[in-house]
Amino acid sequence: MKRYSLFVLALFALTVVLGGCSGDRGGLGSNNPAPPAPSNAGPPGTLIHGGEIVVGIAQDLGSSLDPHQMVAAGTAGQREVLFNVFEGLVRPTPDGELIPAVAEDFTIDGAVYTFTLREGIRFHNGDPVTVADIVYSINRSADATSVTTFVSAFSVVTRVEALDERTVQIEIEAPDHEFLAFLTIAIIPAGHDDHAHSPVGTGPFRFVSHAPQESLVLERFEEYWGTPAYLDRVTFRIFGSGEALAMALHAGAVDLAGLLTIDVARNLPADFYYVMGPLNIVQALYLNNAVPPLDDVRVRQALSYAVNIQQIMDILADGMGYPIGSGVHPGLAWVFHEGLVGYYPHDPDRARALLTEAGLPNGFDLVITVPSNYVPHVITAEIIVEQLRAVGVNASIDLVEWATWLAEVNSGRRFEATVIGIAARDLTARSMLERWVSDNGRNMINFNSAEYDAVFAAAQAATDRAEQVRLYRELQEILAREAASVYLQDRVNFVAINGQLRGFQFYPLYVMDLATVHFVEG
Amino acid sequence: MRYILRKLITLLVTLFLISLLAFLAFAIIPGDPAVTLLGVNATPEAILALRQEMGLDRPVFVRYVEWLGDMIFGDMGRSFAHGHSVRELLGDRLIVTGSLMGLSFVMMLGIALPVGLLTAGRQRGIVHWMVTIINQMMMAVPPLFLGLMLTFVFGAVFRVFTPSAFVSFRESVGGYLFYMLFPALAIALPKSAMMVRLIRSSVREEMGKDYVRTAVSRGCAPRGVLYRHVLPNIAAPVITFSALTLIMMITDSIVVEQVFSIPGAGRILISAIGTRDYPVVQALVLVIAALVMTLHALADVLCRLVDRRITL
Repeated sequence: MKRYSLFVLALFALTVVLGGCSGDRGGLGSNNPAPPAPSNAGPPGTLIHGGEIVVGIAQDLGSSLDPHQMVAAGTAGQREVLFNVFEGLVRPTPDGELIPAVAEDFTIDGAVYTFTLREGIRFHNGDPVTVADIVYSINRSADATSVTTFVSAFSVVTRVEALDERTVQIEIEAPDHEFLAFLTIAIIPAGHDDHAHSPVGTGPFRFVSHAPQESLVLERFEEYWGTPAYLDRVTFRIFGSGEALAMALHAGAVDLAGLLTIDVARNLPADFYYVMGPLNIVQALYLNNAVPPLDDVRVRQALSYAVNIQQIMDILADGMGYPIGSGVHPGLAWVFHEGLVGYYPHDPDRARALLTEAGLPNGFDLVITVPSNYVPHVITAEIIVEQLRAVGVNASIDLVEWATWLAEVNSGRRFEATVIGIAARDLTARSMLERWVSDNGRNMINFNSAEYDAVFAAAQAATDRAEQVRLYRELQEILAREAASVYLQDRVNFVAINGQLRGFQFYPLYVMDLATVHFVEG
Repeated sequence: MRYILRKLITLLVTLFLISLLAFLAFAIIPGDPAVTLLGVNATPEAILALRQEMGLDRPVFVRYVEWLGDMIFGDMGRSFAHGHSVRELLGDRLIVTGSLMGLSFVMMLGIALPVGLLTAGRQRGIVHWMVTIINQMMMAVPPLFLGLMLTFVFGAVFRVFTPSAFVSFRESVGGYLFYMLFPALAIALPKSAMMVRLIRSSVREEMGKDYVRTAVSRGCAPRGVLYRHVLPNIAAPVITFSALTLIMMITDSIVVEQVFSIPGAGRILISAIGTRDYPVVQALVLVIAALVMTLHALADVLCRLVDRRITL
């Protein structure tokens, strides 16, 4: 008894020590109902030019900083960071629109795109951008013989030609409403030979240095064609774990960090605030449609009815999240099918009935393979295991490391179910939807629907934009109806920001734009 | 001389076997560098082509022999995950991890030797109990947790140092050593507790022996007996234990590097295993194995020097 009370006392002391700095000081965004609207600006203040900040990231940046390799293979962290260094002919805005960047102007005539090079625009190394650089960059991405830099969306390019010193024409096989979104691909200098380790672009920040697993440093590019960045210098510091990052935030060693858990966001030091926005992913319990009994649509629907999405949001983010009902995240507002949210309401009775109908009145065993490095997905899987137990499905979790997940689940397709978030790489619905075409190489769930394949082909052939959007919505309907996977949500991205900083903006893409971030007086 | 030759041959054979085993392990476990490099959006065609480009489509033994051949001529290869040559990638990191181990070791000796020797004579009373209790607590705390506590207390509460603001020794040696003080402490404290315990129990055992009784009955003062007769006799176990501790510090520093975000060899080892970056893993495995064996041999030689009863 005595020993027990001593233990309790020790535990209490530890709680006091560890929780010493807690208390809800989350500035602007706290206690918002679901789904939270992206809150971009901080409290007002007088803008200051200059200053240096440290941005914390808890994931390594990987092999190469080559922007074209990045599109094909890069980690989300790389895209997030190098969004500040590179620009394409066009670039995305926080509203999800495409505006001219390296190109000053462009016209689209069917399958022919004509770009006018921006007058006086320079690379970070001081060289002027020429039409030859544009031709080089597009050709490099369209070259299917180079595995790592090939961008599959460019396989339709039939002609890249410099018409004069300021005009480039790109022709593709057939008119395509979405092709412009792919032209956000970086324009890089043709003469430069070490894109992997000393990247040169045209963006508001120029690359200074990168020490693997340590840091990546950017400085403001003084000759930027547009509104120059406010900050002089940005250091991305790479942390070994989310805990180490949280600790550094506490110590004031980091000025800005995203992808935080709600607990970290709500326990920030007093001189910090946090904002919330979408992560732009489709988080789902992805089901291997080729493995029995998951090859039976009734079983997949039963799982969809059995899962309680609100409970997952409650546990992960205090009830916050962006609900989805199919394979497109809400950031792509113009194609996102809102009507499919809640397509399968939480209904255990119906789930049991469907299982009985499918000849599984006693449920079945299900292994959910989850990459152990993505803690939110692991927690989600744990909640789902409990929810499935309520309808008689005996689910268990197989935790694997990332490389194993990539080999076994993503490319090997040797799995039953997995929880993961598929991120948007660009502003097209195609990127999110084409992978579920039955013969697509990335169709990891083996989704097989002749109807889906036909509608997708029709959407690609559609010459009318409204018609294309209608077809993309139809594709989302098919995914929902067929219960291709159990669609959960787009998660909330909690971003911690130093109280002296303003101007952080969310994009409908997985990027971190630092050009608008600045200090304020006071 | 024969001893050194024998050890050298054992070292080479062991290194060969270890490198072979590590290579085979990578062939057996799921995942490969090409798949990892291409990530979530990999298509089967791209994986196939990249595997070909990286030479991963050839049989594992062919690749091993090729790697071994390069290694013998001092070429450690190129990291798949970082694109840099392994030599370039590991150079500074080995210095960081090596100095972390060295600092921890010096700190451990600095704590354990005085505490152990000064309190060794007292085997009862208040000092004895305090040392025993604190020791027991220190031994029970793993470096990982101690590291987190140290960062929290000195980093977040007192703000003595800035967690994660690692200073490279190339920038400032002073700043580097100051930053490394806390991770070294996290490693050194539990180890010094073990060392104190070893010293105290060895002294106690030795003090009960006949020669001590003889010396005391001859009229030597108990303190003199302790320092002149007992200490040389417990030197051998202390040296052996020190070598073992230094070896254990390799694994400790791998853990502590994650907590303090130190870009050392441990951190790159973990990530290289994660990305199946086998040139990096192979090189590190070899370095670690060679280090372990050298330390063992060094401890043997040192023991022989301080204690003539030991033969090699």
